[in-house]
Amino acid sequence: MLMCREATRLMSLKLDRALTFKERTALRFHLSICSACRACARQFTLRIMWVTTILPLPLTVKTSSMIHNAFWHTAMPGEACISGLCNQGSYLQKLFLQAYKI
Amino acid sequence: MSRNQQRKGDTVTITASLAATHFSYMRPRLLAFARLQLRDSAAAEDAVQETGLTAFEKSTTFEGRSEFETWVFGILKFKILDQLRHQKKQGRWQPLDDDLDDDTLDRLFEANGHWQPNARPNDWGKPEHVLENQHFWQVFDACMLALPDNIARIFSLRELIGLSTEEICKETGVSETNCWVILHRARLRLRECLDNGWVR
Repeated sequence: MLMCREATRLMSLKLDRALTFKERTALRFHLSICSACRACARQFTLRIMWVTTILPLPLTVKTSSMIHNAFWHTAMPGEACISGLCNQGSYLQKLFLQAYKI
Repeated sequence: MSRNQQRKGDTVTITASLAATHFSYMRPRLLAFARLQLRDSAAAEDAVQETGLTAFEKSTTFEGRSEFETWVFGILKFKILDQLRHQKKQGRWQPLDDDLDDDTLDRLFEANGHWQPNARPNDWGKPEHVLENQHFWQVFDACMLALPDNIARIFSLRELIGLSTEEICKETGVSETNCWVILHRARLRLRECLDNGWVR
């Protein structure tokens, strides 16, 4: 049976990748019987909120490469520059702002 | 009223001259954010300085402060990444090996996998109350600084800059599996530190 130590590993992992069915089920069961781990899980997920509190919003990969293109007119390392858009900084800036309108 | 609600109600158009004023108003927050991740005041100053230059070079008109802030923080994230890459190139990163076999888990959990009695998480109440609490952020800041450099760097890249663990591998050369191990420890340590310093 899943113990607290392993449960915290899974609740952390859940924030970085999708859990497998088996992992999900085991974690859900453990959380249903353990209040300390439920508190821990809630505190781990504060992360999403502290990003949006200090910062207006976290950036996705797509958005970050859009900003990157807008500023440096080049593709991000290891990414193709979407042809024709790399030189349109202000256009991308607008797109970005529209996408992230709060 | 939460900070976000205040921002929503604020629809002042930010023109170029207002942008400069608002940037100086944001400066302490930008610096704190950069310092948290770079752990080097000079590098943090540089990142904020360059953020200002880029922001004004490219600035157009923004509807409201929140748009402007999103924009500026977006730039700052890239400048921080630049600085981190620079630190790495200069060989200022310690090898990770030491951090991989620390005793965080053994300290927090008993041999049978249960929480140690004095490490059991306390309930922090409603998230919105936690995040509005100014003191929480002071403790958070102190707790971040208490993390070892390598752990803090990976935590920042993931949680504050918002890179995926796959992207962090590319930036740092740490394997994805090790990344998950480090993030698990970082979260547990931060949680513990906040629990002790803020809640208790």
